[in-house]
Amino acid sequence: MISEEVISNPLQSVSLDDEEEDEIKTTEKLSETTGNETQKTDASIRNESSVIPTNQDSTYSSFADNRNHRTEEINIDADSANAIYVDISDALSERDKVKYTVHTRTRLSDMKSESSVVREHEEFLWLHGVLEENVKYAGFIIPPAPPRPDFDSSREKLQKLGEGESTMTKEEFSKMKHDLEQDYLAQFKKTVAMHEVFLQRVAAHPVFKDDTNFRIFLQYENDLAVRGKNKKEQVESFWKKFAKSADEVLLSGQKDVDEFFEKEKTYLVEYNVHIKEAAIRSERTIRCRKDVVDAFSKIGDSFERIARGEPNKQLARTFARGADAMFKLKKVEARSANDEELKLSDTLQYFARDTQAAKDLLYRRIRCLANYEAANKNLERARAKNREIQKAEVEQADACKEFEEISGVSKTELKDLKNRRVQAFKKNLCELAELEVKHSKTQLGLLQDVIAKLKEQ
Amino acid sequence: MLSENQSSTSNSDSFANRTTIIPESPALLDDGDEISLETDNIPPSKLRLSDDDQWNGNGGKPINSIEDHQQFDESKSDNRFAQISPEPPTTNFKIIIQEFEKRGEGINAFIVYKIEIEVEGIVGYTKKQYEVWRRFSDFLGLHEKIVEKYLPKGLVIPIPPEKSIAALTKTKNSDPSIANDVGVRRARQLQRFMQRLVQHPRIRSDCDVRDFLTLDGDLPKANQTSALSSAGVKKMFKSFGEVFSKMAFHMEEGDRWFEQVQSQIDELDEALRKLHTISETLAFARREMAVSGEQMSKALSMLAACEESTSLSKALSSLTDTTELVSAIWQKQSDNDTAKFSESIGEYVSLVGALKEVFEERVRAWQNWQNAQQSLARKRDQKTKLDLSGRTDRSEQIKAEIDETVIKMDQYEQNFIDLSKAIREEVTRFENERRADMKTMLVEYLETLVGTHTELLSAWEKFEPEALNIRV
Repeated sequence: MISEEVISNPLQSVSLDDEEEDEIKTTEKLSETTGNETQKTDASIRNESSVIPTNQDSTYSSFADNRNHRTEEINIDADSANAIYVDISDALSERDKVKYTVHTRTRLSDMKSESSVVREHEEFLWLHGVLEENVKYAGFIIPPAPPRPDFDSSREKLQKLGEGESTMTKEEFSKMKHDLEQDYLAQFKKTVAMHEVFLQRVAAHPVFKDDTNFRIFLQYENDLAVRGKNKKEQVESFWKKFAKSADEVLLSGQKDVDEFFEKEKTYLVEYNVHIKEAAIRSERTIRCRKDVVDAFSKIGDSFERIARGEPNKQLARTFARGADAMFKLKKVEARSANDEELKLSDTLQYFARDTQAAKDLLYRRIRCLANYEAANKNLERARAKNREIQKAEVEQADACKEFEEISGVSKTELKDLKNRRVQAFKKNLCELAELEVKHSKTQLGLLQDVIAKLKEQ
Repeated sequence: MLSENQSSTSNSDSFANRTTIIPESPALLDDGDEISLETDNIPPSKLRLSDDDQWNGNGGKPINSIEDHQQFDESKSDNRFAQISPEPPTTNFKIIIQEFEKRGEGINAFIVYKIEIEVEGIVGYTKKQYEVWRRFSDFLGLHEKIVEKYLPKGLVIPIPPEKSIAALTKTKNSDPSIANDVGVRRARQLQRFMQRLVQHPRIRSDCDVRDFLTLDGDLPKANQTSALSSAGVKKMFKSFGEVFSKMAFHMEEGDRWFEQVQSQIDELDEALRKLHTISETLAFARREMAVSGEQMSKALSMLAACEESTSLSKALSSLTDTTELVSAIWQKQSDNDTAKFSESIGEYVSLVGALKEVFEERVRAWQNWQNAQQSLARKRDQKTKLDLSGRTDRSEQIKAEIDETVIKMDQYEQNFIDLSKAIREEVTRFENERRADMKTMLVEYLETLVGTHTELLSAWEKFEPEALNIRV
């Protein structure tokens, strides 16, 4: 077992600093996949020594972190001959959509050993949709679909910046632009990472990885003709959602035969509410924290300006020190905010989505139970009327089998979810604590240093 | 007009000079006195701090900055304060305003502030400690008296916090916590105002100040107790009148030093205003962060209560405590942002305003002088005409008027000269104070941040083992 990080680090080499951006049509090209051979050998070496590589330093650098950070480790069995390695080797951001290059490697005989296709967000949704609708998978927790890429806010800010260009000094402008671009890039990379995680979860799944649609998604050269729903489809999907929630309400009265599931259902419903709330709150806190970071940077600018206009040398020096301190503080604070987002907010969000997926699973099971009970009734009625007994018996047996299958599989799935959650929370909370401690120490050191220097003068 | 144009071009020239790269003119550098920010792994600051060297290095340049003036001044007399502060150097004058209480009910409610005074070595104060209660309008009344007395003499008089409707309604509000908010903030501002007032070597020994600080019991009610300070309205009219008179009577600045200082003060004013706005944004953002952090901790506590895994639930509830504590720490820091940073900057914004008023006073003095000059010229004209027409009876009268005007003109001129001199001293004093204050402010503010991060550190350190305790 190796961590997937080993095989999918092609984006690490992205140079962040000289990323030039066109303000209207933003196009970024992340670096190309670098030599697969070296990666393979790399993977096998790591595999032999069976060490899970955790490069501490790289987790601290905030932007590379966005790319490499995973809320949860997804393990792919590298020994097995039928493993599928998926990564997003490249992504291109266009005006209203993002194009992901999905890169696949495998030793499976019925697949091409290596392929790259271009996919868009809608196609990921499609893949998620077909997995969810497939009755054979009713008992599994379907990996939740990645959230829609949302760059509107960063784009808006960039645009506003462009409008305000005349009122700022050149330096201020370029600094702000740089900050915003970094923001945008971080957001972009995070989106890419979330799409990749989705594919990797599917690929790591013993059943889903053999799904025909998944194979099509990975290897069909052309686009899947699911981009953009037309009006009819939109209405349909809306209707479907509506019907589902109506069904859910109807089924809420359904008595469960199994205490485990009954308990699990109430639990998940409650848990989902709380985790969603916590996720929203933590997101908001982090947004405020980023505002504080912005203010720091602006105060630094302001100090610098005063220092420049200050005729008194000594005072100018004091202000320059102050500006310097503010910029440094801003950097650490930004990193700290970023880490809090990754370790806490994102973990909460990730499991909010997974809990939702588990809830969907329970819905499918209870639907199945309802079907089973209906089949039972049908059989009784048929027996009473002494008509079509055989057909009803077959139906009842099918429904029974289906229900039992779902119950069996979902029991393990739900237990598995709990394990995964505890594990991921442990990892992330430990890292959160460690990072907060580290950042606080850095800041303290920084402040004391500045104060000492100021007092010296 | 022409001179102003010239000055503005020379200003922009000098600005360009300031930003040129130093190594190109190594001859002008004074050795190694340059601040080095490159000690850490951050890009070097764009600031050229040694520009002054370049300026001063130019040899026989006339005085063109406050700094230069100061050096110039220092070279002339070592004890610049000798004329204005006759007190011995061992003086102490400390004012603390922390406590306040509400008196009266409903619409007649007002807040009185307790002023604690520690004083030593100042003429007129017999005791070492005083304690008086004053209401807000008393402060405004005192300010008004001081302005009347000393503004024409060119002193920079600190400005008290403004009277606002918002604060007023809050004061009258029966909810004690809201009134408390206003009180705390205002007490701080009043303390700054009073401290600044008694810091002034001439104002500290003023009899009105002394009465204000030492008389027991209530002061006679100040005439300006109306709910809305008319200052704002007055200011508007005044500034309108000023623009008008400036148009009619543009003052041609003959003094290079004043020209320089005024443009520097204008620049400083703008920069400080900007900084003040941002500092308020910072305090606000931090407060928002504290509030939403608290909400997050509530949500987390619900999650912790619901979590199945006992060890994870325990860790989450510990995280709840941590985030709650962290939010409280942020809240405290937000108050510090306001009290130690934003308000200090705010005080300087108002002080710069006070300084500008003094400059305006000088313009007015100049205008009086010019008016007198003009009327003298007119009268002399008249006299010539009368002399030519041979009307000697009127001529005598005019002559007397001319003599009178000459005396008046001389007075105005002397007044202008005195005022200019006083202002120079005031500016030097202001600059000295500013230098010390800004540094103290920065250090004190950074020290509050040290406190905050120490607390944060211990909060997270306490959480760390809890996270490790999660059993998988």
